[in-house]
This record gives sequence, C-alpha cells and structure tokens, in this order.
Amino acid sequence: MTLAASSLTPGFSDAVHQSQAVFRCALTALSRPGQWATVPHLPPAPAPLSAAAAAMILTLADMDTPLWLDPVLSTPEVTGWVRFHTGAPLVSLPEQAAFAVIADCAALTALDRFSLGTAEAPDLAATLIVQLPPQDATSPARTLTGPGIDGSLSLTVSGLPDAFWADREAFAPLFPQGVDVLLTTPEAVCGLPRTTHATLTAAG
Amino acid sequence: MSATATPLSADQQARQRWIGLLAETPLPVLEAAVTALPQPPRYTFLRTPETGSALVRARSGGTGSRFNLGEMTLTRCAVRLDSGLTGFSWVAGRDRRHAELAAVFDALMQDPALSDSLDRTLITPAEQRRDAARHSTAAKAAATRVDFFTLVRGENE
Repeated sequence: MTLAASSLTPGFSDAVHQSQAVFRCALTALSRPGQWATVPHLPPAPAPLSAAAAAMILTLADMDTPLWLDPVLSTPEVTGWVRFHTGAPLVSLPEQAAFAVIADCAALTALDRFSLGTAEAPDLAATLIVQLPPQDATSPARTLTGPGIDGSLSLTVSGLPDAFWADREAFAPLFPQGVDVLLTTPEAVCGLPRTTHATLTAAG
Repeated sequence: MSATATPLSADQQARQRWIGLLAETPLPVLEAAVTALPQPPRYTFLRTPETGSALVRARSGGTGSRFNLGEMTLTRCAVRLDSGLTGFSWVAGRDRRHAELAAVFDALMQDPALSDSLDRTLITPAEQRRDAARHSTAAKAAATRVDFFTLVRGENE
C-alpha cells in the first residue's frame, strides 16, 4: 500500500443513495449545459481535490473506467483515496483515460491529448472533470448555444485558457467525436458537453 | 500469490493472524468483547460494511495449475478510530455487524495499550477454538480412512 491508512478520508456515508443523487445531478448538468447544478452530497475529499470533483469521481468512476489525474492531483493522498474508494485504474497517459480530473486549469490546453472517441464509438471519448479556481466575475462572458439550451445562454467562467475554448471549437466538425466537460466549483457542477458551442460574447 | 510477492514482515504476519481469526470469530463473542472493553470504541467508517462476491482460486493438489474454485459472498469494512488507527476486515457471509466489529478489533489490536490484553482474551482463545475444531474434523475424517493393500500374487516368485 502506497498510502498511510491514517490519512485516508471517508467517501460517501451512504454510497448507494448518495451516488444516485449525484449521478442525477451530473445528468442534469450535462442535459442543461451552462447551468450550475448544486452537488447534493459532498464527501470529505483529500486536498487538493475539491469536494464536488470528489463526488463526481465517487459516482462515475469504477474499476472499468481508467482515470487520469493531472500532476497537481497526483499526490499519494488523492491517488490512494481514489484507489481505495473506486478501484479505478489510474493511468499515466491522458489518451487512455475515460475520466480525467484536472486541477491545474491554466495547463488545460491541447485537448487532443484526451480520447475523442471514434466515429463508430463516440462513447469512448473522455469526460473531463475540471476543478475551477476561485471565480472572478470580471472575466469575459461566453455565449453558449446547442442542444439543451433554449436559444442561448451566457456563461462566465474564469481560469480556463483560451486554448481550451479554441480546441473545443476545433472539435465541432468532428462530431460525434469530442470531449465532454464537467466544470466544478467546490460545491456545484456545470456541464459543457461536446454539442455545446461557446463563443466569446461581443463586448457592448 | 504473484511471483513478485515479497515476504511479509513479522508485524504483517501478526496482523494477518488476528485479521483471519477475527473473521472466523462468531459475532456473539465479538459483541461480548466490545462490552468488556474499558471504554466503548469511538470510530468512523472509511468504508461502510458492504457485501460483494469474491472469486476463490485454488491450485490442484496445492501445487498444480491455478483454477477457479467458485465465488463466495463476503462483506468488507474499514473503520478509523478517533485515535487515528485504522482497521480493515473481510468476513465470509453477509453479516455487516460482524464485518464492522472485526474491523474495529483490527484497529484496537494495533494499539500497544490494548493489544496484549485483547490477544489474551480474544485472539488466542479464538485460535485455540479454531485449532480444536480443525483437529476434531481431521480426527473424524481420519477415522473413516481406508488403507488398501495389494496382496502378493503367485506369479511374482
């Protein structure tokens, strides 16, 4: 065992019902892109993993879903916690991951590192669970359109590099391939599925 | 099991012994041992007791090639005492309370202040009970043993 058991924190206190409620929350987030959904159950996560991202991992990951943690999250506490509670295989290469968890948003460029799925099996694409830094309301808004959005929606998110948004747009012609993103604050989640188009809102 | 397995340290062997014995100790004995503690243990669950199945593998003749013997139901649990010690348990069957108490005693056995008295009152008696049961089974089986002799036949003179 690579982790001292004394530093292990618990997962969900009622694994079945709490993970069902969080799964419902993830579904809501992905079917209503750009709208924040409060995560109903927040497990005590080992730093630097945030509680909402931890809830998503407990709910979505299992021994059949390779998980990639970015270098910031690859601490013995986080890897030990993920292994103990989910049994998910931790992979060292992003392209092998079904779920990727990212805490260092500034480094979230080159999305083509992750699996985009194939035209025959777009479900093999990766889902990125992104831990946003503390939000700053002055950052530029983006206009979202696409399935699940009535007309258009404005979303203000700070901390994500321009290359992240550019790569998402670059993947649009590849549909049904692409990556799905779950943005998380410490207690809420917002979906950006591959079908959602985001453009910088024109100033004024 | 695997070719790369390293030999267990003395501490690990000792813990392996009591984890195994706690899993085989009947629940009423564990409940009695909890009430006999100087103070009730305070703990939180790292993993609430959960039941699942595990594949039991065996080797033919003990040394032959591996095969799947079958699946068995087991319940596992992990707790952390307020003192910071953690205990784990894997118990055959679906008794959640048994898994919980076995994990609690695994944690308590790591406490130097308690391990000697618990070993005396709980672990060693459990070991004696288990060994006695094994001997009794072995003795019953030995009583039914049949030895075959081949009588010398005439043509080998």
